[in-house]
Amino acid sequence: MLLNVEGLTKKYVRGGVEFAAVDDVSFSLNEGEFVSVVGHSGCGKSTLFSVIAGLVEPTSGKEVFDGVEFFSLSDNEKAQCRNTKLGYILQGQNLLQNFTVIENICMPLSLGKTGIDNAKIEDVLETFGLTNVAKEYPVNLSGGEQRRVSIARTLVHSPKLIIADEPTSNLDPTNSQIIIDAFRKACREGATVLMSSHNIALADTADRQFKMANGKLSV
Amino acid sequence: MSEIKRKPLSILEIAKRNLSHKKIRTVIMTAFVFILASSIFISTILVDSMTAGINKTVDRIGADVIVVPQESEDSIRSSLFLGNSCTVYTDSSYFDVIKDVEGIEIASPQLYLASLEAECCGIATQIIAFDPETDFIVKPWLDDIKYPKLGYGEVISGCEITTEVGDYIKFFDKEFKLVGKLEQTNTSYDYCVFMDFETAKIILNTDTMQMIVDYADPNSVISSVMIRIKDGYDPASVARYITYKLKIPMKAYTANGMFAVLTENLAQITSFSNILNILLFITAVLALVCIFTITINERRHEFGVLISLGAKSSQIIEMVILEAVFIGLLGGVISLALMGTIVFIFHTSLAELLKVPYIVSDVAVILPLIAKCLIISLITAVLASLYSAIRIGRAEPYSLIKGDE
Repeated sequence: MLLNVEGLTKKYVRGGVEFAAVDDVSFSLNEGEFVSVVGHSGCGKSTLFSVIAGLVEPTSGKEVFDGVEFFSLSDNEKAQCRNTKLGYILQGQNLLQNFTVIENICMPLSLGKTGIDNAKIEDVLETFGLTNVAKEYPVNLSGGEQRRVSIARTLVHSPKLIIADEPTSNLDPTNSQIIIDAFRKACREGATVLMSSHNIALADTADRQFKMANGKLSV
Repeated sequence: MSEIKRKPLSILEIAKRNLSHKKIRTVIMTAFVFILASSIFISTILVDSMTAGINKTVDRIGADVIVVPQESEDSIRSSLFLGNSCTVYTDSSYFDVIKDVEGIEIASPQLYLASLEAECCGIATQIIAFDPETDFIVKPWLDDIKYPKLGYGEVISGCEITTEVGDYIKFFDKEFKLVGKLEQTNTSYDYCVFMDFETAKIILNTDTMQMIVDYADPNSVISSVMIRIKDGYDPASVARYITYKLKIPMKAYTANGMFAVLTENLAQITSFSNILNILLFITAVLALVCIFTITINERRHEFGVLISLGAKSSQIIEMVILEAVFIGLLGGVISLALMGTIVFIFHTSLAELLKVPYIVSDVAVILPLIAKCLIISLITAVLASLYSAIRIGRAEPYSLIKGDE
């Protein structure tokens, strides 16, 4: 088991009233699994993913990731974890505008001060059809290309867990399929993918599917 | 593919790229540092130059006490300090009264004549005549240039007079042979021409000068008396005695006292300059804090993305501070290179423009000042960025990703 989440809760106060964006969520993911989460906007998917990735503190709950009690790690250890084992694909356009495609893709490696595996980079560029735009700045890319760069950037350091928040939203079927294929390939190589999507057809291609509503997760 | 850069970027390179891709923002922030560094550099150079000018002038005068005609103090002071030429005269008989005052070791008269525009200089030149019998001011300079005695019709000059040694220099249509030039002193003496009283009479007896020096006998005028005091006597007491007891229309000053007004003015200018620099420093810091706060807020999502990719808070803080260091260095280096070059190349023109005897341009003075201004520029920029850097470093990553303030 790669990830085990138990009783995960994240509460916020809005207009003086406390509410649970993530409400007592428990689930597990195995190595190589492709799992999707579906649910309406605002149901708590993004918050759940952010808590799992250590980008926001949970109100309560427990998470064991790759054999380690994740919430007991320091901020630096969580950052280290995101840099090496956990790839997080944010919702929307998230490229760094001051850097070229190749520099964006290599950014996790730059931040981690690790060496760059040229073969891996070339493979990632080819997989996502980005070889010809490697030296371009994000402003010169189409929406689909930008999203592909964003996903390539997450896969470049071969994370054990890929958390993808709406990776195919606003994308045409071709681009969506390229992304799903890349996730499938990553899974075959041993990675685990946790993806949220509005697109039921795409979500159905996952090995397992969770439904989320009002912060609660169900099978 | 081989052309594609695949070297990992360091935080330093990331910071540099962030600046180079936001040119307008970078230029505005750099401009604040530029103005601050330039202001501190120029005001310090100006104050240092004036202080050094006064000290050098006092040293170069070489007299303990200077006696000048009443109402002419400002003209003589201006001539000695700034090189503004003047013609000042009074009866030479007062010299005989002054020289016998107790405590005076030696007294020597001088005569200040302003030439009309001279071929050598394009502007009026200060001519200073001295008495070879009693002189103790110019003689040591003649010894320095190994020219024991000026002959009739011979003159020596300060280093800034353009006529070559051996050539003739013309005043009031009379030619005088330039037999030597003094070393640079960085005082008004660099722009003066020196001759003895006998040679000065050639000028005094010209029709033009006789119209200027409206005196019964133009050959019996002096402008000042330079005095050296015997050991054990107080120059200030001797000066007071001459001014108040001799009942002659002349006023005595100690060498320092002659420039007391200038020293007081300089102290005021220094205080004003310091206050201005402090205010400018605060303004620059506040302006940069505002710009940093606004731009860092705009970039919250960008920092959130970096954190999602595994950046540590310390790396984000380092990035913001490095950007500030670059801005501080850029503003400081551009300013100081420009100001240093201007001062180094145009120090003479600047001195004329700013009405100071000279502008300090020695590398030994300029380099430490450049280092000081550069450090202040860096401190300003880093201080301004600290608040934003720490704030962003402490923010919850998810709030950064959402771009919340």
